[in-house]
Formats: sequence, C-alpha cells, structure tokens
Amino acid sequence: MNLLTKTSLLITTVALFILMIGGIIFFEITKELINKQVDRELISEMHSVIHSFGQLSSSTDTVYYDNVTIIPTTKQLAFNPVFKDTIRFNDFEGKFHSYRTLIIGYRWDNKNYIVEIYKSLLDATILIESVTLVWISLSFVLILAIFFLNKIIFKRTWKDFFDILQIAESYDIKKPEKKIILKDSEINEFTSLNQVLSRLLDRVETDYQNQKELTANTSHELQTPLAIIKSKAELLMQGTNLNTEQIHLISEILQTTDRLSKLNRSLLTISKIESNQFTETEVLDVAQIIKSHIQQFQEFIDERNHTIETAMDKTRIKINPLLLDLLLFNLLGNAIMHNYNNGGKIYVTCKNGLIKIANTGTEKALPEKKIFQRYFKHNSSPQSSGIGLSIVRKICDYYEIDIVYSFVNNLHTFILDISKLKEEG
Amino acid sequence: MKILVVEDEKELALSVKDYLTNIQDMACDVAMNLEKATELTELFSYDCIVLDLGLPDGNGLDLIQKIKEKRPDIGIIIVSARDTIDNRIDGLNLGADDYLTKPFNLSELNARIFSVYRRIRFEGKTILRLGEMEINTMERSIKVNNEELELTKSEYNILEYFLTNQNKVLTKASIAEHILGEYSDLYVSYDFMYSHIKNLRKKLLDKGCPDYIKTVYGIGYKFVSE
Repeated sequence: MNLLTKTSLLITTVALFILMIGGIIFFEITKELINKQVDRELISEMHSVIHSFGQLSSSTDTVYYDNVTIIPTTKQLAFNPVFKDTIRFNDFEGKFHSYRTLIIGYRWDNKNYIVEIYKSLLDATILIESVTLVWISLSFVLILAIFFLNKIIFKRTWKDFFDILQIAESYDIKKPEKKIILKDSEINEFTSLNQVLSRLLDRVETDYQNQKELTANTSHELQTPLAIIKSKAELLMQGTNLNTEQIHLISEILQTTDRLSKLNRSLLTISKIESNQFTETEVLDVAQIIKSHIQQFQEFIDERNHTIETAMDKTRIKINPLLLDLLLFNLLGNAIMHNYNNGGKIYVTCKNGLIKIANTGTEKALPEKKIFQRYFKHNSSPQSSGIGLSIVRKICDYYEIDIVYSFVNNLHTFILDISKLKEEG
Repeated sequence: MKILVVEDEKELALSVKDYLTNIQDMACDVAMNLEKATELTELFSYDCIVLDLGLPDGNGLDLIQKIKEKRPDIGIIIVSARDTIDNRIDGLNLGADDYLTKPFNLSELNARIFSVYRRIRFEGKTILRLGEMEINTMERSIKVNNEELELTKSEYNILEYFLTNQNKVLTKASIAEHILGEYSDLYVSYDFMYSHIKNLRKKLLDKGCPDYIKTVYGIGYKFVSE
C-alpha cells in the first residue's frame, strides 16, 4: 500500500465515521426538536379544548372530533398531560400513521373525562426523511471533496520527498560519476532528511572508496615482499651443498609464495575491476576469442584427454578486451581443470547472444549461491584459490551480463547472456 | 655481459645482483634511485638494464627515453609491481624491450635478459651451440650433429629455457610459467610438463646427445652441461 492510498483510506474512514456519528446525533436532535414543537402545539390545542369544553362535550358518551377524543370515565385522573407516540389509521389517506398523542384527565361539571388529542407526525417524518437525504448527499460530496483535496495536498507537500526517493533509488555506489545532488526543500523535515541522506552517502562512499583502496594498495604493496621471498628462495636453491631435505623446504617456500602471489594478482584484478580501470572497449568476435583461448588451453586438454565440442556463431560484442579475456580464461580454465582427471567432456556454444560452457566433473551440483563467492573451494581441488569465479562474477556485474549456473544431464553448465553487449554488423 | 639493476627495494636488488653475478657470471651494478641510475648509465656502458618503475625520486619511464635516445642498443626490461596495462604499453612504447611483473623468477629474468640481448645485438639471428646441438633462435629450429630435430612448440620453449639457465635448478613452476605465461595460473598438477620433458629428453637421446636433463626430485629439473 502506498502512502497516498494509506492516508486517503484513513482520512476517508475517519470522515465517514465522524459523519455517521454526526448524522445520528443530528437525526436525534431534529427528532427531539420536532417532538417538542408538536408537544407545544398539542398543549396549546389542549388549552383551547379545555376552554371550550362545555360546547364540546355534554353527554356521557365518547365524543370524537377530528383530532380530539373525549372519553367519560368514572375514575378521577390527574390534570397532568401525558405524551405518547401512537399509530392510528388515517381516514383520508387510508393508511396507518404515527401520531403524537396527549392524554389528560379533566373534570367538568362533576364528571370525569379522559381527553386525548392527536397530532399527525406525517409532516415531521417527511421533514426528517428529507433532512436525512440532504445529510447523506452532503456527506458524500464532503467525502469526495476530502478525498480529492487530500490527493492534491499530498502531491504538493510530498513532492520533495518523492524527488529525494527517486534520486536515492537511482543511486549506485559502483557508479561514482552519477553524483547525487539533493536540493533543499521548503519543508524543514525534508531538508533534514536530505542532509541526513547526504551525510550517510558521503560516509558510505568514503568507506567504500577506502575499502577498495585498501585492497588495491595492500595487494600492490605485497608484490615486492613476495618478490624478495621468491628471489631469496631461488638463490638459496642454487647453492651447491644442499641436502634433499633442505631442497624440499626451499621448494615448499617457493610453491607457497607462488600460490600467494597468484591469489594476490587475482585480488588486484578484482579491485581494478571495482575501481573502473577497464573503460576502453573494442568490438570483438566472441567466437574468435573463445577459439584462441581453446588453442592456448590445448596442452591441458590433450594432457587430460578431454574432448571439446564447439558450436559457435560469429557474435560481435562491445567489451574491454582484457576483461573478455579474463572472463573466458577463467570459465574455460574451470571447465578444463574441474573435470575428470582423464577423458572429460567440454561443450562450448555461442549462439543467439548466449555463451554456454558445460563440462563433466563431480556428479553433484555445486551450491549455486556459493560458487561465485570469493574463496569458495570445492573439496576436489585444494590447489585452486577459489577466486576465479568471483572474478567472473565481477566482470558480469560490471557489464550487467546475466550469468546462471546449473547442473543438467550431469553437466556443470554456465550460461551467460551477452545480448546486451551485442553490436550489429 | 654487464647489467644495471635499478630497484629501490634493497633486498630485492641484492638478490638480483647476487643471482646475476654469482650464479650467471654477469657483471652487475645496482642503482637504488633515478639519479644514481642516470649517473651510472652515463659513466658505463651496459648491455641490459633491469628497471623498476616506482622509484623514490621519479618514474622509471622517464629513464627509458633518455637511455634509448643515446644508446638504442641497450636492452631495457621493466620490472614492476604495477602491472596495469597502461604502464606496460607506455613502457614498451617508450622503447623498453620487455616487461616482467613482480614477483618473478630469477631464472625467468635471466632468460629474458638473454633473449633481449640476442634480439638487440644480433637481431635475433643467434645460433646457440652446445656440444653437438645448434639452435637457431630466430627460426626456432634445432640441429643435432647437423641433423634437423623436430620439436613441438612447448618442447622448444623448454629447451631454450634450459639452455639460458644451464646448470641451474629450475622449478617446475618456473618452467610452466615460462612456457605458458598466465595460463600457468591454472596449474593444479605439473603432469603435463613431465610428459613434455620426457619426450624432449627422449628425442635428444635418440639423436645421440648425452643425458643433459637431470631430475631434481620433488623440485624440478637441471640442465647439466658440465
């Protein structure tokens, strides 16, 4: 539910409730006022009846007049008017109507009488009905007016808020060139919201920048010490009087240093992608690049007796050549390395803007959510750094390429949708 | 061969100097800043300069132009932790002959120095000779006792690497890196290299060469020519 619907609904409900209660009270008051008026009229009529009682009643029978009934009685009743609502048959209209009745005991000429005076409430009922009708139509108009007024006022007062919201929505920390500019609003709360938001974003941006720089600087600074370790170990290894155990120790140092520097290089690559250092683009044929990569990998493929099947159409895309290289290198490398030790199969297709790389391997699907995470390792290959796919993910994110992993027909399959980067011709 | 190492990291500079002088029998000077490097290049004639880009008193790129203007026959190999493509391209455009990213193998640096040296001084038309072997580095062909020997691309690369690093222990990782470059990053096992070397050794033995290639168990190989 959005803000406007919510307020409109609330205001309308409250207005409806108030109008209903008000209506009931108004109705009751009107009825009360009418009754009082009728009662006053009845009393004045009562006075005129009593005034001319001699002419009206002289017999012992009940006398009926138009609106007055005089009933002789033996009981003596108090001269105290009692009002009653009754229903009587109206001779003219041939219908029952509600009437207000005044009943009073009267003593005249030593005889007791009950005097009943009636007054039709037909006019009053009509009056109340029309008032109610007017009330309801007025309420309806009022609610409608409130509804639209709310809408107009809402749009006016919340405009700045929605502007802020739109700006905030389009914000992407990875695209620093889209700097957020928040205007001051004439409404103080929105101005402070803007200020808070600006402060928050500045903070986030600085943190993000620092974190990126930390990774980049750290991996950069690590290269030289690594080079020193490596060179010292290599020097040590060329010594003439070393025993086997010592040579082994040195070899371990060298291997570990190599692993560390590979990891470091990958981190450096990721931080470079993150800091947008690959902006130049070229139009390249993906099929061609895949072919050349497969050629480069031929040694590995032959060594393990893998078979590789390709089905590729010429697909020209606009991309940074280095990132495309990295992307395909990691994906194809994965397909070759994380495969059977001998006689695996690899299928590469590039058709209709989709690159599909499928390979045999462990007969179990990999956890889809985890494989793109940094340092995710599948237990079958302790030597891999687990960083290749996170580079792949970074590149895909950078170019907004959809990448999906699935495990179908015992094949680990990666599908990349590169149609967004496609260039015609 | 006379080499100048321009590197501000003392330990690394000393390792390189130590390796090149004591193990590869070259003459080697070290300059730890741009000023000293400029001075040394004006005083002495070097065959090759190993140049780090990030120096305390300036960018190594400036030195490249200065040297190449006067002495285009000096080989320059850039060694840098900054492996941004821009730097690499700038360096090569300014006249550097090769580029190595830190951390590197000393044996690889040695191979690059030789390759640059050969390219500049002999326009690549060098014939490497060892006993009955004759290797034409331009045509990338090898003759044993004047008979042509067919080698695959990888086998040739391995042999050339061995010849520039004779009598030195070479790790499997450094051999892999030499022949495959960045592709060696994907190495999980070095089995495939084992088969290349086995084939190379067999081909050489079949042609009547002595068994040059010795296995250093658990580490790698050594090409023994003495």
